[in-house]
Amino acid sequence: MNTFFPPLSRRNFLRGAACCLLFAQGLGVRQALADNTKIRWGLLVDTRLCGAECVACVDACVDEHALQSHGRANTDARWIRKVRLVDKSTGLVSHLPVMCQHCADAQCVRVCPTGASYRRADGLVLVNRHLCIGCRYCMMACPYKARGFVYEKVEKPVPHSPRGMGTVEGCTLCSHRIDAGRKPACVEACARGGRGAMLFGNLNDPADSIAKRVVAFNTTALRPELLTNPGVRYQGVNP
Amino acid sequence: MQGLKILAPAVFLLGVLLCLEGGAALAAEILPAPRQKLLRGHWSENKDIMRNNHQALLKDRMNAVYPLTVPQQAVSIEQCVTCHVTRGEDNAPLSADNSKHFCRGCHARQNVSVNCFSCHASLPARDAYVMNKEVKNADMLKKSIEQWQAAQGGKK
Repeated sequence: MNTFFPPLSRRNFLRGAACCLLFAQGLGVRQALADNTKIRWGLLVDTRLCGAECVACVDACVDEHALQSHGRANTDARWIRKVRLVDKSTGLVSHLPVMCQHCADAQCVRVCPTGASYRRADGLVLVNRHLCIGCRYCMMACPYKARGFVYEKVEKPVPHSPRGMGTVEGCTLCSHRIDAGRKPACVEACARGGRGAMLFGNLNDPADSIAKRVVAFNTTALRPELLTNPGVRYQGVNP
Repeated sequence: MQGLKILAPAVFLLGVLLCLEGGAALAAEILPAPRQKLLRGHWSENKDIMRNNHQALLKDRMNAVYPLTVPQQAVSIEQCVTCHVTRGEDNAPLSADNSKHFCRGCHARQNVSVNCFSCHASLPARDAYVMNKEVKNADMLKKSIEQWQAAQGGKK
């Protein structure tokens, strides 16, 4: 019998294995946090400036990603929708654009069975359409109803934004523009329209104007009780 | 029995030799994917290599487009489509709906459908983009290669 390595009992072996697993997982989590602390793209919408009649952001999104219309307004693909929110206690009415909230704890990523829904290191939550099987679990899991399904053949997809029948899609925060150092199309359109209700930037950079606004003013997340920690935040809304 | 003992290694060696030869023949048919060539420049001169391997190369790129940690770089089928433009009579680029499209010509001959363009654009982003210097040069390169190939054929 080797006295230096006494025989392990089953319980001790399992304990040791569990400790090893926890340690490895801890390392993984720390690595993920280290990646995420550099950049986190976010959007701040000032709903006090956003009017009921203005749909500049929606139109810009449609143009940018060539979301064609089939003449059925209720079911046409839209990555941004204007929502009318009424505070029942005070009667405050606010109009806000709602798109993918790019959550830190994204439910769509959690439920995706193929790994098609994923979160990039800079905070964008995207769909890898090569892996998407169109099961629509993510659509059911998303508390913001931000994802949509492509039911019909896409006639003329634009090169920077491929869309395919049978896959799920949602706001990408114009990742192709961000990668090229530009702002999302909706933000540019909002500024061009004179409202300037949307502010885009890096939430993790203290020098960025969005980070300054988030620190200085009370901004809210939609459905805060779900603790999804969205990258899109709103000002002037009672959640 | 003695004869069998002598014959057995000989048969084994013959088998090994045949396998090696078969493997070599197979290796000659399937050419290795020219990753470096594809990354650095135009590979028109390696037509056969590309014809055999473009599917694998596209698959590689397809997976490389979505790294989970780094924002994606602009590697896309868009680049292929930008250079491999087939123009119609009015000099406008043809889409994949047209049978003369660069990918469709071969695929129709081989009776293989192209799925890429059900999601990806088969036309480059803008006409101005199509007509820029690089693409004109690519066309010129193609012409010069064709001329060179014709000259080679003439020599033979």
